[in-house]
Amino acid sequence: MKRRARWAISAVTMLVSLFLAPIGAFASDHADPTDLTDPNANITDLFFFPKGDQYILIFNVRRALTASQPYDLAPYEYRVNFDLTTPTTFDSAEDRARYGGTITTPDRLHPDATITVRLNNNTTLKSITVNGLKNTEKIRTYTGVRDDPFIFPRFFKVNVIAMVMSLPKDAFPVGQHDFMLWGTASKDGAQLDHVGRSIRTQLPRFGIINTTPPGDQLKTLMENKESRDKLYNFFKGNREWYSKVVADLIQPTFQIRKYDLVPDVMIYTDRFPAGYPNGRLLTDDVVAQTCAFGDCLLQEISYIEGGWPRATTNDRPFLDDWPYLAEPWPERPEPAAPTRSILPYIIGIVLAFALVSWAIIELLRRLIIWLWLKARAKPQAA
Amino acid sequence: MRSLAFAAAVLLATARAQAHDFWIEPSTFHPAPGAMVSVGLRVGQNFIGDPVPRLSAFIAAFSVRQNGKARDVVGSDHIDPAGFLPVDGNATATISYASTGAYIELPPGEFEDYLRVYGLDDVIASRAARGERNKLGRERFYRYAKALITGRDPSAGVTKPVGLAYEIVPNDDPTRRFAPFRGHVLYHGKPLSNALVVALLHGRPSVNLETHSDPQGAITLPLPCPGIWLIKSVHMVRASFFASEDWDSFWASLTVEIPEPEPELKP
Repeated sequence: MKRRARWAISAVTMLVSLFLAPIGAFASDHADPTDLTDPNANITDLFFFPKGDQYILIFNVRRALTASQPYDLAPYEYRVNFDLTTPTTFDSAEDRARYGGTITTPDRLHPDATITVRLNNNTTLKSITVNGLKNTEKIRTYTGVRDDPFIFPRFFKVNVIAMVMSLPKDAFPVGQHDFMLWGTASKDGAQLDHVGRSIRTQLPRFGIINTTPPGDQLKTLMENKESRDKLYNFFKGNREWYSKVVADLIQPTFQIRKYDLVPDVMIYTDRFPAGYPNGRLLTDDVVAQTCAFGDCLLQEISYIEGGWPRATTNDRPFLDDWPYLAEPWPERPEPAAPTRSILPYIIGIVLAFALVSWAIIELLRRLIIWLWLKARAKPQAA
Repeated sequence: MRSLAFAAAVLLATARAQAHDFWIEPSTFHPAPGAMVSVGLRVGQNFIGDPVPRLSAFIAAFSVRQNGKARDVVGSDHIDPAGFLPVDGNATATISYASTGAYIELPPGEFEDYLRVYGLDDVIASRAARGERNKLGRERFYRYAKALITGRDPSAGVTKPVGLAYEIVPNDDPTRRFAPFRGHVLYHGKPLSNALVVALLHGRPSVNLETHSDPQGAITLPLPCPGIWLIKSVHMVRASFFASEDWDSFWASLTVEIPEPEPELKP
């Protein structure tokens, strides 16, 4: 019985933390939880595709941007990491469809090359540091405000801060066919956001890996899978219908799925045509493609918030040439932040609960005293 | 080893035997270090199985032992594969699964057929001696499955029992080299004699190798070729007086990939 009670308490604790944890993170790569509180660290997109003798790398941050300069970009460091040596295979159709390939030794993911960018508050390039690549003098760079290229109604008619790079193919080792890359945003040495393959860390169940290096992500995912599976199994295994309802709420949103146990990196290989999830092209409708293989949250939201038929192209045409991203939308004031706070409601509920609890305990106390006095009085009367 | 037979023949008709084998089928027997392995449970005949989704209520233990450490195999109920585990790949790992008991009733004829198929002649004899041959077969069965995941180095842990009520324990790490499979059959940790042990080759259901354990519980199976093998045995005992069933059966299985023979050195 005691064991059951302990289990129930730990289950409720886990449940509460499970539901509360992603609130900050629910929204991502466009809406990582971590970064809704720090929009300048919020990575929105990572693109990688070949163009002639170049690879085009696009790394965007700052979701839903409409405000004018200056921004607060100077404290942030944006980095793209390339793993060029960890083995990747392409035999699994399932892995290719979801992730672009199979990483056979996921705990060995590491950066062989990095490109680190710092921006001035007016979006101009403050510094770019390239490690592990050759012919870096031939790297072409653009930074500035551009249209958000994400094909998703919520982010139509808004901008992002874009970092576009053209990397000569000879910057990479001769015969380099396979690439794994991921981006990070950091401030004061602390990583705040991560992006790999599109639409992973923006999903509620993946908020946990936003601050974890890819080589450690599998371990983190497994740890979370274990606790969330136990929670799901506990609620699903009870006979009460409402317990099963809780389990069914946990499953689609928070449970780590059988196909989730993969580090979040973008895989690109020149063995196959470029296009999500083999790298990512600007024109890729990643929301629909991701939905086709099991993750439909954004697909549903695109119907909820968008019109009919669902938009499958960007709201502005991409450029055929440098810097490829569409022209930015005119600046306009960003929507005012809500002024109402939920804290008074929480405090009120807590106080009401405390008051009711106190009243019940006080009533019980008085009842016990009264019964005790009555019991003592009886023998005396006899 | 009292008898040994190698037959390339179709196994006995499964329709007669209501019982089914149970085994662990990992996504790979040769994972790279650090890889994630999904662990499927299978039930079927002739090493051809249907997936068994995880159901916590039926699991008594589900764990993996690697590098001397044991950890639970995690998974979500109602989902196949039943579990997942990251393997470090340093040494051979042992996955083990034990079920809680499940009750089944079989008509007398079917029950006896199944006892015959699984070499449980002593149970047939016991039923006959007690005049129970026309009695329903009321049984509670327990499943004990193991699988070996090949690592970079052999593991001495493979040769030690993992504590299942009924288990097949190799004498040495069978994932290392192509050789006859030698091991022991243990019931509650003690050698069990005269147990029928069958080996089946994945993808070739006609290949059926049988032996019986000797008085020390030892078995030798001269596996004729490399590949993924299922080695299995069933033991049955009369249930306790107060039990609702008449018989308790214990189903042990071991799945392992036997490597290719090493090429002979030419003089």
